[in-house]
Amino acid sequence: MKQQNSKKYKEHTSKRRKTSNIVYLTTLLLAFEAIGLSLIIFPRSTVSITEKRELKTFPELTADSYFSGDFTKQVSEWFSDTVPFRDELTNISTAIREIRGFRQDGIRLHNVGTLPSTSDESSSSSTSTSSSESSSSSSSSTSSSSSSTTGSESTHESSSSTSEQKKDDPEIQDHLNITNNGIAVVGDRALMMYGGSFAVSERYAKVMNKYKQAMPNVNVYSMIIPTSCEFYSPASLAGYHASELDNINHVNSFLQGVTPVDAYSALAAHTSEDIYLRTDHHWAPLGAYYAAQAFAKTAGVPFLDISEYDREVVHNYVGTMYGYTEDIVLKNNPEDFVYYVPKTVEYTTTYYEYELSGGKIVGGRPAFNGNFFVRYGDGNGMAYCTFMGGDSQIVKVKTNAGTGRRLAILKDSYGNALPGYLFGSFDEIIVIDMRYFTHNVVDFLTDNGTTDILFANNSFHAATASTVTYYETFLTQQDWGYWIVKEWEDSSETAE
Amino acid sequence: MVFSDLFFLYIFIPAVAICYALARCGDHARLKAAANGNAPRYANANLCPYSNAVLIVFSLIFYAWGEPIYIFLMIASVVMNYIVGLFIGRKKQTSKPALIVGLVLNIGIIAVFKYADFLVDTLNLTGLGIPKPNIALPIGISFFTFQSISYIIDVYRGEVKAQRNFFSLLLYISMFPQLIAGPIVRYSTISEEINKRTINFNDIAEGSFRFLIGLGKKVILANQLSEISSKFLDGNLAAVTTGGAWLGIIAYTLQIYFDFSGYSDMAIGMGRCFGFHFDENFKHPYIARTITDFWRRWHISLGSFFRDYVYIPLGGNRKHQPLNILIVWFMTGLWHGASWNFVLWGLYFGAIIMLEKYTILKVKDKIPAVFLHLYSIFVIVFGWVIFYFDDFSRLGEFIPILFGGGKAGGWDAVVQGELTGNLWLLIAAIICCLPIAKIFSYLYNKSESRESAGQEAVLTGLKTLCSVALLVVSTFLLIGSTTNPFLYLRF
Repeated sequence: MKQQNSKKYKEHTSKRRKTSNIVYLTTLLLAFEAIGLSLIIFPRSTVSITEKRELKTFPELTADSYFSGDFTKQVSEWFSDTVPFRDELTNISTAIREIRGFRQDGIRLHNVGTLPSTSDESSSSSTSTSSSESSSSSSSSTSSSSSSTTGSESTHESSSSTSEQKKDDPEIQDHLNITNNGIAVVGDRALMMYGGSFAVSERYAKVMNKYKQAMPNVNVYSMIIPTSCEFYSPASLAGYHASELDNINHVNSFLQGVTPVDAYSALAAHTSEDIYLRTDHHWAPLGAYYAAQAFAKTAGVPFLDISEYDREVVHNYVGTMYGYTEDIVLKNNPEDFVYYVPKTVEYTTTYYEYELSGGKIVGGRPAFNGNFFVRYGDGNGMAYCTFMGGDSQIVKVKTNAGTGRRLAILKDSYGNALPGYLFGSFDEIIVIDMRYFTHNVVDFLTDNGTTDILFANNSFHAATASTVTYYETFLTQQDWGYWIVKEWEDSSETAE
Repeated sequence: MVFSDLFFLYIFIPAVAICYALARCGDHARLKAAANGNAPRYANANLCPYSNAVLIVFSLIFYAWGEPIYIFLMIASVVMNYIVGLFIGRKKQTSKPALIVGLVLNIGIIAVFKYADFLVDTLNLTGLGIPKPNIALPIGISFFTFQSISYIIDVYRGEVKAQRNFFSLLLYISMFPQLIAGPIVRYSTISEEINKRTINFNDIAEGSFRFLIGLGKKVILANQLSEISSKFLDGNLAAVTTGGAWLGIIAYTLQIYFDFSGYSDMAIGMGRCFGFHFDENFKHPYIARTITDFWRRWHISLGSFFRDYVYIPLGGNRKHQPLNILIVWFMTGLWHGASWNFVLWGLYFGAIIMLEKYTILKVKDKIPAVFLHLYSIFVIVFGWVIFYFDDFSRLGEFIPILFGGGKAGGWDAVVQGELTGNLWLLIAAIICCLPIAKIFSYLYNKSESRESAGQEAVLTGLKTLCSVALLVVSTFLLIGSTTNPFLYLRF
């Protein structure tokens, strides 16, 4: 009897198990197919707005690429890199990853205090004191590190690639500078931990001194722009970044004939306002307004009050820091990108754009007139490019200020936010990016009748050796031949 | 190709699954035809030639995907072992010489392709200045060579018959689930299933579930844990605090377990779906009470390989046991990598196991379990320190940090941030080291003597939910991430 019962029970359970298995497998297969088919059917992504890069392309099949294993490797990478709706799906994956713990005091550190520093001499932004130690550490890392942040991935990749490439590609150089010392997300604000040392200060000051010596009749100013880390980093993180103020003062102590502009105090007085972007590595246009005001005062030129500008807003802005950290808090807390367009002054803007290939200048496009301010739509992560649309160009703005002063701004991307506030102060403003300039700077500015030169760089670049190299090269280089000065004047006239 | 890759999951697996299902239908039709007498009876006993052909083709594609050139080495190795196997199986007179030739060739292959550079480096320490051959390590060579060795020895010992069908042997060695990172499947384990196997819904369901568990272990746990470990172990060690050093190495301890056992789970699961039953490779190693116990639970297929093919033939515990232990653990260490730190790691465990024989094992029943666990965990974690740093200068720098001798102090905001920022992950990982399924079924069966229909439905629902969640979450985490190779692909 007992045996019969047991047999019946076994038959029952085996039937039940079969049904259960079928239910289980059907559900699983449906889920698997749903994901699998959507990965194949929908169009593949080609760019990532979040990471601001073009995604991988399908590799070319050659005998070499096949037998070296590159082809198959790249096919796998292409498939994974270009999944449909990549940015949206990455956002979900970032949100899932956030569940792995909690933020004590609202802080999450992204490679702060732990990133192997690079041994590249051109980027000094590291608190590490021993470069030999750190270079050995990065070379000995053999584990399968799965870096979470794309920003740091690019840093890792670039640190393992040739240093040649690093020096050549300004984009990579920039990434190194920004992420070298890690990023702390404090509340809903991302702070790049400043790791600048005094190593480059003297050289940075001296290169500006050389400009003054080469053009004794021109006023030369140095504005080193502090970053948000200096004002918003909590005490608990004090050990993980250096003092930007100390570095600025150190540079200033070496200036000879060059007038320092105290942007630091101008910004420090307004930290309760939105003077820095929370989700981007740049300052906010309002911060640039206060710094420009300080500069105008130092230079002794008139300055338009903010009431003489139209206030424009790009809503739902999430900047570069999300791409670097993939920190979901930044994504979930977009900000307003507010900028100011002068309404009481007349000006024309002429662009001399460079043609680039792989980050290098390969040609110059014909000059054209355009808007100084480029309007971006709500939610566009590129909104900081509002000013002149980017960096790879020389921009000349003619105004009706009537002060008889002609300014040249030599700058990094922080400097882009400044000229818009100086249209009422100078008759002409030439904007030169430190990475893109093909003329001999002395000839160029002398021919142009420049009366004032403003170096406007953030404190990361002021502590970076490659910045000095760029500016030194401008002094010594022969004209590359794009827009010879005559042509420059002609096209500029035509443009007006 | 690695298992935790979108291309593998969503292109390779569907392709192999569809072809395999069709091939199984072909095999069935062929058998039916043979049974009806409409087709000639086949002399060999291979009842699944079509499905075997599909598995071989896909296995070769799988291997060629990562090693387009070394695939010829792998095939050549199979050809060699096939011939050696036939010679061993043929006559008594030829068997011993054939075995010796086979062993020399197999060990020769692994010596040249895995250890040549290491050997030259070591010899050069004496100032010889021999140029380095710079031979790239073929993926999975340690695994497929060991499987081959086990095959020819088993044939020699008469435990299995030599495989007369070359393709059946090729399938045994090259079968993609276990080809490149184990487990080291013994020929005897699957020799019958190669030519005759059944697959039912239960196999596929169990196999898929096992595969997904492995995928989750790798993608959800190991990959996230690797971010913690690499932060503290790969960077400038001068800046690492004592807390950071411990957090880093504990994260690595968890990472390597989930990475490797996840791979084994995926291999066992896929094997099951194809109708093969591989032996277990891990049995919750971190719950071990002694190191002897740990090595019965960690990478079981490797431990049993050395036990059966090295330790026992050397004399086991019958004669010069300490020497045998020393040899086995030297080889176990060296198998893990061509670097002295792995040898040190192996000898470290050998020494502890030897010590345990005369100490803890004799009194372990009298010691509270909690102390035994703490002792084992400490020894294991410290073992991973030796295992991690193949650069002795960094190893020498790291060990003092663990015991408070670092320059950066004991604790800092970075450790605090990493700890709280990954707290749930760490807790989940520690829980997943426990035999959850056993605990669950123990608790479940305690209340009811038999499973009712309702319980079965609940269990199926839970299992389904869990599987779909593992698949979906793993897929999301794989999107946009670069390929994360399994740690054991290095070995």
